[in-house]
Amino acid sequence: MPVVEVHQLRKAYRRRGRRGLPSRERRSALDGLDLVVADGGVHGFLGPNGSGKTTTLRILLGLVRADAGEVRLLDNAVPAGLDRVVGGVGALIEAPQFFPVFTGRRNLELLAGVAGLPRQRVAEVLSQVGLAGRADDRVKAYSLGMRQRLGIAAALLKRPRLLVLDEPTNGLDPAGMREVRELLRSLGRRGVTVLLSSHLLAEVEQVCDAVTIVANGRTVVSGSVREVLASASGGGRLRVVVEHAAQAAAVLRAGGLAVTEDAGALLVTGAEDPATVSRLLGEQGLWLRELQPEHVDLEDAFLALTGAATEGVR
Amino acid sequence: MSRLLGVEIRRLTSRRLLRLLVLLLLATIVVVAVVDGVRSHRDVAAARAAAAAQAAQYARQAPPPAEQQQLCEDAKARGEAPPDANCEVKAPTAADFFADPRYRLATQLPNAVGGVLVGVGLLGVVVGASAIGAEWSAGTYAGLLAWEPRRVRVLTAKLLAILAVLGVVGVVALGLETLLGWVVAATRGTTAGTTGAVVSEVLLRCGRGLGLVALLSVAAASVAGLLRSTAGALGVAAAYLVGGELVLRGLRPGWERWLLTSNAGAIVTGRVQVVGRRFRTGMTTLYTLHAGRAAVYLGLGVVVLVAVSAVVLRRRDVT
Repeated sequence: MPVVEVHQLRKAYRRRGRRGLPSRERRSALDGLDLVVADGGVHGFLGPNGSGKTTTLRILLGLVRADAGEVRLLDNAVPAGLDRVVGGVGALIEAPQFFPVFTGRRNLELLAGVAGLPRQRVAEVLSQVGLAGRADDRVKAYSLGMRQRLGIAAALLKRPRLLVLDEPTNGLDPAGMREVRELLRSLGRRGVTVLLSSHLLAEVEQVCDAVTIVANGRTVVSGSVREVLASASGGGRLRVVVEHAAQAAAVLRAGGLAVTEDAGALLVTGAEDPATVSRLLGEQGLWLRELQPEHVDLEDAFLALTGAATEGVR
Repeated sequence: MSRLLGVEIRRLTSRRLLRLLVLLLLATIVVVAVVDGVRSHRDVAAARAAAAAQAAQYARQAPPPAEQQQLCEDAKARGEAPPDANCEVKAPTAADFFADPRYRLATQLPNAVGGVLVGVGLLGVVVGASAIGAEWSAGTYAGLLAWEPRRVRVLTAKLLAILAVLGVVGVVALGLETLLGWVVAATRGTTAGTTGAVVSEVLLRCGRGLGLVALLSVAAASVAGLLRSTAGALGVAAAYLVGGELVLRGLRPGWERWLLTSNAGAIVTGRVQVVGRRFRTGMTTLYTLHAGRAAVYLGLGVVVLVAVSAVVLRRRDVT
């Protein structure tokens, strides 16, 4: 059963007019967004700035009201049933906010008190995010990265079944990023569902099992990372270098494959197995010089998919 | 709910602003008591002698004009009415110059309690506004709502925490004032005249005053919630008191019985007299505002403010 189900979610905000006052004009942030997050593992949530990621996460947590659409969290409708499941949800939305004059420990103890958690749990999560040594310093003395770690610690306090993280590695140094990614991976392996919103495509590719890409308030594509990469590359594209390229292209087309020419090479799509290409050409006495699957990374997929979505809107 | 209330009380009492203001209030009470103690003494005879000397000196410096005195005497001898009211003016006596040098608990404690209540009231407005406004400014309100999505419950806990903390602060401050007042009176002044009626009036004044503090602090917290800013709420309060009330008193003196300060005064002192205007006839008349009526009037206003604040909080997008 999915942990998060979002269907046809819509939200428009009032624009700010002159002098910062809300005007009657509305700007659509979400325009029928769908999101399904399966139980367990790390699910990436990708999209350009202003695509509606943070608004979606805020709606999931009951901080923002949707104009239309259906939202279910741990099998409970949001916001009506949110209080029944909030104990199983940890969240870090945008920059974590704490009382600057309280210590990190004091801030977490106050949050733990809301959920009736023991103080021992505070010490555990502080240690888990590497803040045990600075726990009794005031938050105003923390660096951006330390505040981010404290935010992650707060999200982990409840031993959540679902962890919602918005740019969790923001402000962390490379070592800190690595630690957080390791932490997320280990949480995912332990059965915690992590919904990770990130701009860092390499991070999502490294950490996530599944991904949803959004643009302009709509879902562009969703699935396992491998499926999304495949869809962006047109189902797996092969780069073929062969003598008599024109003859080879005709042979491959006759074999049911799509072929385009690119600077002396052939780009072949539709071949589930590269051996098919090799066999078809060999049967006609055309010998391969080079056969290479084209590597598409998530950055390529993201740009291709979100670019297409943006053009579609235009 | 009790868990949330406990957290809110801990959060509030951890704030430096509250600790600082409470220390300032208690220090002021102690300083005023020390000053009262220093100024009070029991040498009543010396004070009477000084008063007599002052009266004699006054008589020497400003005797009644001889002609005026003669006219009065003549009229009196003829059995006629005195020529004008000046005949009734008598030279001041020693009693007129006598000021009891002793700190008299029965007369000074009610006033001192009123002063402490003004201090607790100001503290209540600042702490009430800051308890909610600062959370919005710091962005921690959103974090809290992600932990407890029942927003009205969160608001209720915050308001109850404000009331609980200010209640304790008020009782401590009033208790300290009473204790120090009694010590000064017992050691360097007098407790004579501190009857059951006086004690009862002081207790009633304390109770009514703490009730007013509760109303003001909840109102300030509600306005801060609506504006999502401590400074905004305090600005509204200042604008109302300095601008709104002064302007209204000047332009519409008949509206005085509806103003906050008039009703607040009635709650603390039990009753005040204000100028009013009858709706039907438009005639100016003198109204007596009683504490009960004033409490109901201000209480209804605060209930409306809290309700609006709760509705807005429920519907608001926390971005």
